[in-house]
Amino acid sequence: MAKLFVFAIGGTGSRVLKALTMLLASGVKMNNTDEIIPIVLDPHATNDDLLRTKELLREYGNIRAGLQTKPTEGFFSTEIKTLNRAIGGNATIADTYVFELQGVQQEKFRDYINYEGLDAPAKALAALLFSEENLETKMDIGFVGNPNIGSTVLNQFRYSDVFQAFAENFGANDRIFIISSIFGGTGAAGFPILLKNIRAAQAIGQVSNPAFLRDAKIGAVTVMPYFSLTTNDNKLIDPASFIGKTKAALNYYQKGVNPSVNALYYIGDDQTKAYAYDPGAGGQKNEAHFVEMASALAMVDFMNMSDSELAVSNGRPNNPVYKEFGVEQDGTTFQLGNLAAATRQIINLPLAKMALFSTYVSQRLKSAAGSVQWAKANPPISTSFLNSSFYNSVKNFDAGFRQWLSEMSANKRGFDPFLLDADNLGHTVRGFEPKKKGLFGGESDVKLDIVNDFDQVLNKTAEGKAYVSEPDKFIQLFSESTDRFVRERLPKVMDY
Amino acid sequence: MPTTLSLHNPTPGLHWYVSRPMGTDQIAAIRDPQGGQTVKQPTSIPSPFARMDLVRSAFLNLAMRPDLSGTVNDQRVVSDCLDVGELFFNYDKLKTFVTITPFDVRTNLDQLRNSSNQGHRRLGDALKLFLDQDAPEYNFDDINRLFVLSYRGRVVGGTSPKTLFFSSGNDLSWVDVSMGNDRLFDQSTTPLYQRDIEYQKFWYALKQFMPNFRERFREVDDYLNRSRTLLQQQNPTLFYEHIELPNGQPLLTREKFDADFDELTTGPGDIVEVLGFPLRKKKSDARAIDQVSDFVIKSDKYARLHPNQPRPMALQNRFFRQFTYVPQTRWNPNISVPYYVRESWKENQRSLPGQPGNYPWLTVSDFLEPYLIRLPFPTDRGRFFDGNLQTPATDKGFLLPLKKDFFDFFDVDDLLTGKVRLRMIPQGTGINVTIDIPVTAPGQPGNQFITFERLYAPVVGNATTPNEITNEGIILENSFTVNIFP
Repeated sequence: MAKLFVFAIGGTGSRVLKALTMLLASGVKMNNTDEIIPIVLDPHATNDDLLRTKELLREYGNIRAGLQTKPTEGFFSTEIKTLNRAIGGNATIADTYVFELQGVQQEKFRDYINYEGLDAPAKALAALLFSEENLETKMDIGFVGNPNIGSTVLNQFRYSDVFQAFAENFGANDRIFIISSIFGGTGAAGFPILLKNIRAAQAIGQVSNPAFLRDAKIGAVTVMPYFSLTTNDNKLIDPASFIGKTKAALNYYQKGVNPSVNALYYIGDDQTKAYAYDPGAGGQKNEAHFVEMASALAMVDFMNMSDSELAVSNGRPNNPVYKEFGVEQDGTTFQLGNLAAATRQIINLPLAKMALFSTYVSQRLKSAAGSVQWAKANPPISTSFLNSSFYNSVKNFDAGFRQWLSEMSANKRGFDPFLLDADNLGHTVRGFEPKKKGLFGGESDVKLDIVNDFDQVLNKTAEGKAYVSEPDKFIQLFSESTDRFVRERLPKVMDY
Repeated sequence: MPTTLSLHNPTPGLHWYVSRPMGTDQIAAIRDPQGGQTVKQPTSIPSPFARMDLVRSAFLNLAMRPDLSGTVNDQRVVSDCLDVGELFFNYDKLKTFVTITPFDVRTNLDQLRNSSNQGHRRLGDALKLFLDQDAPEYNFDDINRLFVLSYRGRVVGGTSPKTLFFSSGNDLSWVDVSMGNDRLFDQSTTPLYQRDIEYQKFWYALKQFMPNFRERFREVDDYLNRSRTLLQQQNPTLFYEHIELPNGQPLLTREKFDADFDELTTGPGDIVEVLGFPLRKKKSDARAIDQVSDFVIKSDKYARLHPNQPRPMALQNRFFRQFTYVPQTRWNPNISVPYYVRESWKENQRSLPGQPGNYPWLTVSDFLEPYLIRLPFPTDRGRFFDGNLQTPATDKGFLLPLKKDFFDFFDVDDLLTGKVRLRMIPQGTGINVTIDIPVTAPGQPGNQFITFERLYAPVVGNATTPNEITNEGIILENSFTVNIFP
């Protein structure tokens, strides 16, 4: 089946990729593909956002690797691979999701292009195109708001063995999705560079099927400002100019980008929160945001489009489309109920399942292991399982999931769909609490207990089944049981 | 209420719905809490040719309004672009300080791409990718050479295939060039319709005579259309004198364009062009200055002796009247005029104070001697012109401290009749000499004068030598007698 190559560029790229990983782990379905190959491009190799995403992808991979029967629906049902693994045996490139830029460590742009060594005409042109500040920019901390130099630096990607391997392994039916922000440095620069190099594959040479790339089905999300950075004089990123930067770049996109993308997704928000700006090592670490999750959903939408809708001739899409993201009910903090029915249809069930799973793992699993009916046999889920490296990966992933949710809820605008670890599981999905009619016509909460209600569903689901391994049982059983629990006990969640 | 997560106000829809591409109108609708008033110019355009696009969109934005108003940034970007063009246009006047370096997009670019140096290849390949991929939108295919203009050895701007010119992203406020009353690259911005009419004609002529101008430079073309209308509204005299007759007949003909402006070359046959069309430069505006400047010395003698020469100006330091200095430019009292200039005015080697280019002009030291000679006896005021010396007739007399150049313009009669007023007034231990030089002042009522003044004293501080640079004269006593023999 066809592959989806996801290029996540810069800090926003990493954060959207993290959101995508969460959605896929929860069981959100990607159509027209069974394999996603993320390639993270960021010169800021120690960027916290990037490290967190990398770690999460690693755990996702560990979990999938631990399963003998790879699930095709429910939790962790989509294959996410490094490019190296997607290629398989012959691959000579590093087994990592992150592409490392060469020659940017501690280097100034001036040195990167060997400015001093240029002859008079080239030096004059370089001095005209790039300001003194551009030339003095050190590149190990990202392109700090100067995509005009980023476009030159990131162009090296096309000569990398990673791009070469990607180009050689790109099939006629494969698709590409590019995630970038328009107002930062790396993403804004990397997106057009990547797009142009893909569409110009024929000119690059050394690619066996350049027409596949030239006519590739390309989707992209362009994330516009949705947060600001705390103003502090002398900092390299000037948050006040976010909008100015966005407008300037959009003006360029009109001519330099828009005609080359099949489906371009725009999103941004001016209900913003200011983050502290930290460009140094350890770097930018922004809290997760709803906009990133919506951006991840753009990929789901893109994969729902048919091949014929995405036809390309001679490097130009026949019917380019431009999309924006709308919600049903405005507010400063969203719950699932604020979202459009089409959005809810995609995420309500998977995310609610993951929230219940997370609650069970933190509140009940330890005491239930080896003792409750579902955990006793075929095979048993015992305390030793809880000490396994597989379960450790699940725990780590779950910790990431919880952090992701809690950051989104505290952000502005906030997204606060779940109450994790609720005494009454009926309160888990905010706004969709089950109610019962009282004797006198009033409504009251339905009390759903983790022991009496959830364990029962687990027992019922496990009844009569045998699983190939503990990890297989753990993931499959919880995926099915949470599914059942939502459908049976929290039916409003499914009411689109 | 449904809402779309966006920065402009699109027609609402739900989930990921089909909307419209972000075009000019949508971009304009993006809410900007800073109102585009940030000082920093955005560098967020992801192309090495970012500045070319920045200038393009600034023209586009300004041209949306009939009065060409817009954000501070857009106005600055366009104004800087026009400044760069004006430097190219005034190349002849400025060539002592200006160099123009061509970059050939084939040969020079190939050299970069084939260089043994990795950094140079990186730059060359990135430039090549964008020149190829963005060719249709930025006319890159039609470039032969780009020209980079440096002032005093530092790059300031260059030619652009999209807006003809563009400026570098650096702070250029150090460039000490003023055109008329506008200092280039400073905080204040000047739209085209307020600039030198010759420069405006150059732009309107490019628009008219450069092939496919509108297709290639749409944003600039829109700007020029509005600019022309604004000139007509706000300065009808100039408009009807230079652009179009009141009956609608155009004054900018191809013949006139070719006659009025020379092709801009950096050497024999080395034409500076944009997309193959040779740029033009301003011819010397000596004739125009001669006609309109209020500072031109009123001298029949000079005109008679040098019939085809521009008539020199007399420039006075700390001059506060509203005189026209050069065309379209009032005198700015902040301009400092040196009291002494080494370069020859006769050979037109003097650059005009505060303006680019040379024009003959004179200052105090051209008319007044450094020494004032005191005679050891009183002069016979009945027989000798005493320079209107305001001392008792019994006091020692003085020789007139006039230099030879004075007589290039005036005769003794002019002094006697008071056409040129010379006065010598005691001040402290010295004598203050003033001379009123008549000027043509076509824009001023009545007779007008420029006054030169020098204080002569026996000593200046401890010095007994004069200092023409600081305008300090010395009085010397010397005996001049004429013996008639027999």
